[in-house]
Amino acid sequence: MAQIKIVAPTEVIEKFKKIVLAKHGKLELSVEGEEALRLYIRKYEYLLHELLSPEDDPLKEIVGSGCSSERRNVLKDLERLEMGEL
Amino acid sequence: MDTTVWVGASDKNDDFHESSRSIVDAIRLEKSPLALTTDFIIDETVTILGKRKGFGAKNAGKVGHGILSSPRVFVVYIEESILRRALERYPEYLGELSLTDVVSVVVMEKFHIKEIFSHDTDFDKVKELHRKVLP
Repeated sequence: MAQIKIVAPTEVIEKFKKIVLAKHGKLELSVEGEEALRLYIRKYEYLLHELLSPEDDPLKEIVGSGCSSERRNVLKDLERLEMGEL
Repeated sequence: MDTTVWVGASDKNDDFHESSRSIVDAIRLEKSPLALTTDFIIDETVTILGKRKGFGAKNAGKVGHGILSSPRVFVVYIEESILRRALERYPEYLGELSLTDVVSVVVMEKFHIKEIFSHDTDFDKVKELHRKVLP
């Protein structure tokens, strides 16, 4: 079985649990399996903005977080990686 | 979400920076659905960025942590059954797709995902997938 690891601050996880418990009165993700988790994610993704604002999302820090000293092309680097040349 | 997007979005001096950053921003701003990626993809991303002069290993590590920490990105950890399935399917693509790519295909199949954000045209060989380079 595949594993999905969701990393989030403890308070976010607690809020998520409260939401699920409030909606369904139970939290049995391990029993309901990955398909149920996928559906949970889709169903409640709209709540994300209440849990962690886009401004606080670590993705903001990733974008443009560095600058290579020369022009690069990730497709060429992937080829080099696969050839063991990187 | 493929390696090309994570690397392109992170490095301002990559050929695919602009389109990649628009994808990551769209996910962060919830204009696109939540993203799914794999630990194999994070491996490639950090390895490539860490080798680039001017970007550096320390910065590359931060990118990896950022992907893992975002609540809008779900990371699938590849376990044996997925890897075995990918190894079974690997010959279908005559070596034109890397094993990491085939693992992504198997994961997407498993989670009923039809769209992939990637600049790698090799994914066009996978009939059931629709490749996108913009959100």
